[in-house]
Amino acid sequence: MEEKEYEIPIEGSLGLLAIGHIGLQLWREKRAAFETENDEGISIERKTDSETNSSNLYFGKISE
Amino acid sequence: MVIGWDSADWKIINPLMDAGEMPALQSLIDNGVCGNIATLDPPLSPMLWTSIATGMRPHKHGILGFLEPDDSGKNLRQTHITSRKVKAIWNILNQQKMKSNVIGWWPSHPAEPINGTMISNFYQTANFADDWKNWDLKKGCVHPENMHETFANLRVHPTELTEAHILPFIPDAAKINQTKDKSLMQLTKQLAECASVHNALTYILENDKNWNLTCVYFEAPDLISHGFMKFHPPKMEHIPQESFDLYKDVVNGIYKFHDMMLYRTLQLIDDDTTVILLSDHGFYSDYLRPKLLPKEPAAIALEHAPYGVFVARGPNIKKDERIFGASILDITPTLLTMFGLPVGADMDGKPLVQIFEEEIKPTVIPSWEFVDGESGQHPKEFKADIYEVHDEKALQQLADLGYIESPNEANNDENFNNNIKENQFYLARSYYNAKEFPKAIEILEALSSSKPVKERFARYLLECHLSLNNTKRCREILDELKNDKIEKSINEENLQIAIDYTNPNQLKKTKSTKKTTTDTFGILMIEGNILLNENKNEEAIACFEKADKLSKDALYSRMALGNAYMQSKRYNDAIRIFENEIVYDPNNSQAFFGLGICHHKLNNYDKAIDYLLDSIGLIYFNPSAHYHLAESFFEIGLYHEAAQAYEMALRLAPNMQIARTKLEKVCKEYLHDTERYEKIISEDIYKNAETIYIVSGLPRSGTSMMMQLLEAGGLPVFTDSLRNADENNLKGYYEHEAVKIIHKDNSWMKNSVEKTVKVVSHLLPNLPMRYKYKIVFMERDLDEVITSQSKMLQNLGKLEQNTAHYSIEVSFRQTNDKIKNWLNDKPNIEVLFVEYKDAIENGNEVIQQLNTFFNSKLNTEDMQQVIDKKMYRTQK
Repeated sequence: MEEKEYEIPIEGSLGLLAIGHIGLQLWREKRAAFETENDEGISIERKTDSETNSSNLYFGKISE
Repeated sequence: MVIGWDSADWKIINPLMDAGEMPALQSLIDNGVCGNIATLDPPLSPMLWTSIATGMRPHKHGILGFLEPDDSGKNLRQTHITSRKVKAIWNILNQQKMKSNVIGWWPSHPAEPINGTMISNFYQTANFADDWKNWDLKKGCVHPENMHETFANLRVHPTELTEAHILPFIPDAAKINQTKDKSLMQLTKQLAECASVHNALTYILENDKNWNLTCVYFEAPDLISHGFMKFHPPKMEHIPQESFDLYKDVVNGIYKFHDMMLYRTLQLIDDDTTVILLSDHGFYSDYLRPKLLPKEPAAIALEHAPYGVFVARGPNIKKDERIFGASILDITPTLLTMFGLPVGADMDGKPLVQIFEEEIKPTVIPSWEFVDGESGQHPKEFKADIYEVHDEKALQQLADLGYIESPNEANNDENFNNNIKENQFYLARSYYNAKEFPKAIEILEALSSSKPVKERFARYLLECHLSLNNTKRCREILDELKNDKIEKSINEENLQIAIDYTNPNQLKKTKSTKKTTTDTFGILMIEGNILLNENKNEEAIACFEKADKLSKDALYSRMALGNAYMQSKRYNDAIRIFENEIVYDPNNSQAFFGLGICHHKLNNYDKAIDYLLDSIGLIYFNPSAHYHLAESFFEIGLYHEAAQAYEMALRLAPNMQIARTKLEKVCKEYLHDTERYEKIISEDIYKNAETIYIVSGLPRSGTSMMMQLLEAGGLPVFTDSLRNADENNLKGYYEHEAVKIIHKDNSWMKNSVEKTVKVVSHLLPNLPMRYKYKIVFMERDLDEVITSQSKMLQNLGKLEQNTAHYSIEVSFRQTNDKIKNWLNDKPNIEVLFVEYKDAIENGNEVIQQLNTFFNSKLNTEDMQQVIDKKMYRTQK
């Protein structure tokens, strides 16, 4: 079977979740590497729901 | 491998598979078997998944609800695995030196020390307030404990998820006002939690190839369905268009995601692994979706449909076939049969032998509970308190779902007592579902003793009394209902809309316009059922017809009307009703059953056979359906088929004498195969079991005299002789101290094999089922028993002279009735009832009866010396 290279998206995907623990590890590594490389000026924007005090990442944008 | 998808339903799956959107499940089905699987009542997850893992009903396995008292007995906690009273399939395999993995099964906390890995059902629980990088995993969630950190790191926290995970479910999620609408949070939480369970599963499958059984449970299809099924197409009238447009794809989305996880799971196992995928019940997704629910605990279970999904694929599993008649009770017996192990006769399910390509003949043992060996259960002295999970947020989630009362709605004491009562109610329903009506009545009468009586308790109590033809008590309950002494579930204040995350503040009150209609409807239905029970068929029909006019959409009234027509021999009217019902609900097994009976009565045997097979295909546990099927086969000359159906009726109801007689007739006179009949009748799983002789009855009913008599006849007695003869028992008591604690410890019974033991009647239900018993049950006039007991207590100085405890007569009578009922259907128990008066006055006759009962092994001459008429001192 031909192997295809797959770029792990920084925001993750349902497909990565469905792969299981390996998908989670690869995604977390990608996020960690992204944060290390861009620890100045680039972050994943998080909104906070003040009423529930819960993080709201669903529409976080990757912004510089 | 057993994969559990809570609530999964064919009505959602089939259109998705047809569209090619669940390819993994499709591949399982193409290479295996599929069908409906019947649930149990009450359809609540902790009870059902434990029934799946044990093959037993809740009143046997001991898991009775979502909550239970903690070890102190003062507070409530979520139900722990330590409340399960019997072995699960993985414990049985453990004893056979096999290896199991169990992930997320409900309930499985604290994880049991099995040979393999167990991840408890609290493992994946996530709260938004936690920081995912410092997210503690509770102690007791992982076995072996040294893997705690590894598995902790495999969990997905909801705050890690992004729009990439959410938009496939809700493309217009950006429009949601998350301050008011909590739907996104719920979806994200469920998605994260099922991903955590899947990660634990994939980790185990990649790192351990030497397991025998892996069981994994996913809860999300159920929780997502409770939250979002109301938005599933077709649009329900009361759902705003905007909400429908936003959330209409969520239910399909969660099924598709589970299919993606299944695809990955199948990649990690080989084709030689047998896979069973099932749900514990279905979920109404069409016009049967309830819009309003009574405001009572676990009312949302009314959204559950009675049939879930069952799929199996494996080396010896048939290919591309549909199977019928499966129940969730059958999973453990089927797994045991696949592993070549015997099924416990105390299990309520049967092996699904129809799924096997090559026939496997199941074997049976009395019970796995008495099989020794390391089972991987927590030891008896184990206390769960250090592993207890008092998770307020988890409790609140159960309350939000309507499964339990909100911790904030009542003070702790009241909440505690209500939950204990609710578990008792579930226990009674389990007995009711198993048709053990006297046991259900005992609990329901106790629940109904505190006023105001809850309508749901009264409803089940009525049904139980009706089943036992206790019309007088039914009328009393009906009068209470009419006089408003019962707290009704269904009235204007007590209706709520099904769970709605989109508008949680509006959840509580939704007005119904049906108050008077509903109450009148309920009373008419009860009145009709009582009249039917009294054979006042035409009056009953009038009641049901009135009820049907009041509530055009009430399935209950139409089925009752059909049954009433049938009972009054108006078969064509009944057929009209039942035919309409199967158009409305093609899964209505009772309607198919009614059609089968009616066509049989009208001599349309071919139609009767078709309908009865349809009914059995939906609900297998219906001895009457098998019996009538046999009758129809017999009428058209299909004697082999008739014998098979009679045999099945007899297996399901061993006391159905008419089936036994007909089976004998068919085998001997039509098939000329006497051997077949003899073989069926002689199949005795207890044939190698050891026998213990018991003398029983109420205290002072002549049990000591019978012990003397049997000892004189040559049967060894089991007694410690600690209690000496006295003026109350001139020739001794023949007791053993160990008997008094039989409910806690029965290990001494192995020393009483082939001996006679005195066991007072109320302790009989504690006899372990591994032995055969021959019981001589002494009966004596209750006035005499009470007078004799009072004299004895007076002699001992424990009761004032010339007084007697006559007030306990009712209680004694009830106990005796209950015990006789219990004795009635036990395959390992033979009983000889002996009247004390007869034993004294017609001694020789009774001795002859005893000798026959004990297979002529008694020395009757020596026995005659024992009977002393002077001993009959207390008589009327």
